Amino acid sequence: MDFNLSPAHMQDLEHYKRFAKDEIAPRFCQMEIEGATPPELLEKMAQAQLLGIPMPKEYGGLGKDFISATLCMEELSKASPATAGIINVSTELVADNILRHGTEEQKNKYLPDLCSGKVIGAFALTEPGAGSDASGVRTAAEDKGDHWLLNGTKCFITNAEIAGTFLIAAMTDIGDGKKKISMFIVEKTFPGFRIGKHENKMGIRSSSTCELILEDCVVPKENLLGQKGKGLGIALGCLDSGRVMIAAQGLGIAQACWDDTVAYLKEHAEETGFVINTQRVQFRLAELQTKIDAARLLIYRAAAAWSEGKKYGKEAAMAKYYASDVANEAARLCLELTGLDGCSCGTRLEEYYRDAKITEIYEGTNEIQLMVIAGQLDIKA
Amino acid sequence: MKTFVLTEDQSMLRELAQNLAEAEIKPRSEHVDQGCVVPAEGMSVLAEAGLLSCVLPEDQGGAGLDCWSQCCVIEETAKQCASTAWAVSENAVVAECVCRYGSETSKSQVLPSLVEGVFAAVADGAGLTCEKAGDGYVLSGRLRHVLLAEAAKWLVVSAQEGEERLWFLLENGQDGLKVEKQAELLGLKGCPAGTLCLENCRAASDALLGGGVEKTLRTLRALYGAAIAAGISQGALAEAIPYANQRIQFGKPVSHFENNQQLLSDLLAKAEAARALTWNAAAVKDSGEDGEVVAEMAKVFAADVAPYLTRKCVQVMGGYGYSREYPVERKMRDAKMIELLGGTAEDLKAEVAKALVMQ
Ligand SMILES: Cc1cc2nc3c(=O)[nH]c(=O)nc-3n(C[C@H](O)[C@H](O)[C@H](O)COP(=O)(O)OP(=O)(O)OC[C@H]3O[C@@H](n4cnc5c(N)ncnc54)[C@H](O)[C@@H]3O)c2cc1C
Repeated sequence: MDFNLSPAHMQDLEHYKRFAKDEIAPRFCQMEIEGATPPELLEKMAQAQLLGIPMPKEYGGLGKDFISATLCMEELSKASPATAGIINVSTELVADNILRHGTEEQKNKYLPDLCSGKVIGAFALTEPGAGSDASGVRTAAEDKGDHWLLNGTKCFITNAEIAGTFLIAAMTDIGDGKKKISMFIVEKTFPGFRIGKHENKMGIRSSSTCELILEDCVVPKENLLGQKGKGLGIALGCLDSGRVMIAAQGLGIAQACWDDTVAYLKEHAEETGFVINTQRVQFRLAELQTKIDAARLLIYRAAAAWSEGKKYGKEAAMAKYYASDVANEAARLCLELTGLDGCSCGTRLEEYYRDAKITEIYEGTNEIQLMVIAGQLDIKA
Repeated sequence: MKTFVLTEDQSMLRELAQNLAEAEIKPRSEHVDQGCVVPAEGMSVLAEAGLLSCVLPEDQGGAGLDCWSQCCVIEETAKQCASTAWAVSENAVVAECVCRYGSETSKSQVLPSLVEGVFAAVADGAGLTCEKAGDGYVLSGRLRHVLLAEAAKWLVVSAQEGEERLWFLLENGQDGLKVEKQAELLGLKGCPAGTLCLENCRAASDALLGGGVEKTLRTLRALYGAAIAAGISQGALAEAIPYANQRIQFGKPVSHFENNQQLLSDLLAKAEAARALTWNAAAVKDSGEDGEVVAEMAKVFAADVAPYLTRKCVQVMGGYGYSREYPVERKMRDAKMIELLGGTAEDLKAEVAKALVMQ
């Protein structure tokens, strides 16, 4: 058992840290106020090949393992959780799904652009009536012989405004009058596809979250992803890897809260009456760092299992459940320790408090994580 | 749910506050938050109904009500809009401090306007100094993070004279007093913060608030802070519970999932406990005791519950809770601010420990 990162991982980590520090961190608060990710930043991320980290080189990815991908997620989340979220959706939920379930033609057509960041991906499962319960999907895909016709509304779709390639879950007939979910690759230029309402959110405001509206949207026959009727498995399968990433997003938020708070308390030591030297502050920071480390180990365990090709659904759910909880606890505690200075808009801590909350909600709420974990433990009579 | 302890008068007053808050304050609350607008209209509505600084005796323009009634007004307001509740609370704190510790001149100047709904603010942080000059004082220094600093007509500030801490009543706009705008804060956005800048600011001797004011001020702010926190918690549950009953997933309302039932029951108990402690502290104060320690304990508890409870209420509402279309995300931000204002948990706990732990 080795709890240390390999030299290669350390090198990757340095690279991600530098990018986050130089390119993202200086823009973080301003982007959140403006509510958009500047196109030049997306371009820089593309140039740095951050959108295809764990994708194979033959499709334009960097061919790294998933531990490297979680390191990137943590570092980028420290600099801007919203920006890190953009990468997660495009890489883990879209590119990785196409890699695992796509035909050779689909892979050749979509992966190089996704991996290079030329095109951003978005993943659309949620609907007004289908949140935790994906079987509530009502968007329908009708087989029209030489094409599919999609009708329905998706909501809360991350990256909607900046994405070019969408994975969309829709109900299809599987015979005998039965319907099951299938996944489709939809380009934003397809007729009948448009972006609806833009969500006004508590946090991660620089990443766009919108409705998608499909009105007789024409999708070529060959754009069905995987087998007909197997969409739910595809969607839930990719959420495993996505969850490790959300856990890493929570970890980044938590560690950044801790780091910023300690820096603040040291800098303002005199002004705050040297509270940083008091037991009540030291114990709380010690306790928080312990929990952050525990979250990190859960994440590395899940990422390692994933890299080794083992099953890791339970480990992913545990990592997400715990790390997102720690992120929220960290954000709350750190505002207590930094007071109204920390609560001022334009400081990172104020942002983190609002951003941390999303990690408990998306890619399966924490209650859904508990269902996943319980389902894989032998706890039924 | 039946609450057993209120007198008939208190119940009537509470109902009046509840109705007004629902009808007049709730519809404005989103605008107050998202536009960072001071809640002047909400204050006028409450003033017209005689609910502002209703603790003042009748001969000072108040309604001569007890502190408990004032708590109910603040709590009901906070259920709908914490920014408005903060303004109501500061108004009541300043009114009582001036009424009990102010000069006759101060009382006649300040109290009628407070009852009519002008804003007031307390600036109790450290950073100001004063020295005797003629028959008055001269104050200097800067104090950041004073909520409502710009909107307030009256400011109660503390300044250090050597070892001694003195309290003054100042009027916004008086010579030597300026307010600098400050960055927006996480919550209570209807009470924008400012920096008080005092430069040779003269305070006449009758602007001085008498000995004992500090204790009263601290007690009242803890008590009303607890009432705001208890109100935010109840307001969040009043959103989350009906939502959970109408939101269908897996073929049933999400309120039918056992985990949500257990969670919401627990949150209801915590909100109830927060209110009970607050009311208890108010009752102690109304009985004539200073009630400082019980008020501090109420604030510690209620302000600890509110951020936790609002976070869970957002969770019960899933993605919708995270959206600004519903008010629970605002309540989660406001709750965090209340935890920090009017005495932080840590400072209050240290006070309680001084009184009850250390022997
Ligand atoms: C900012 C943001 C970005 C998002 N991005 C995307 C995206 O890119 N693509 C996408 O498809 N979706 C996206 N979502 C949607 C997100 O995945 C859903 O919000 C989430 O799955 C929860 O669904 P819901 O909001 O409908 O909550 P609900 O399912 O209505 O749940 C409400 C509450 O009930 C609980 N609950 C539900 N069922 C059970 C049960 N059986 N047992 C116990 N408790 C239960 C939940 O845990 C929750 O606390 C995004 C959401 C947000 C807010």
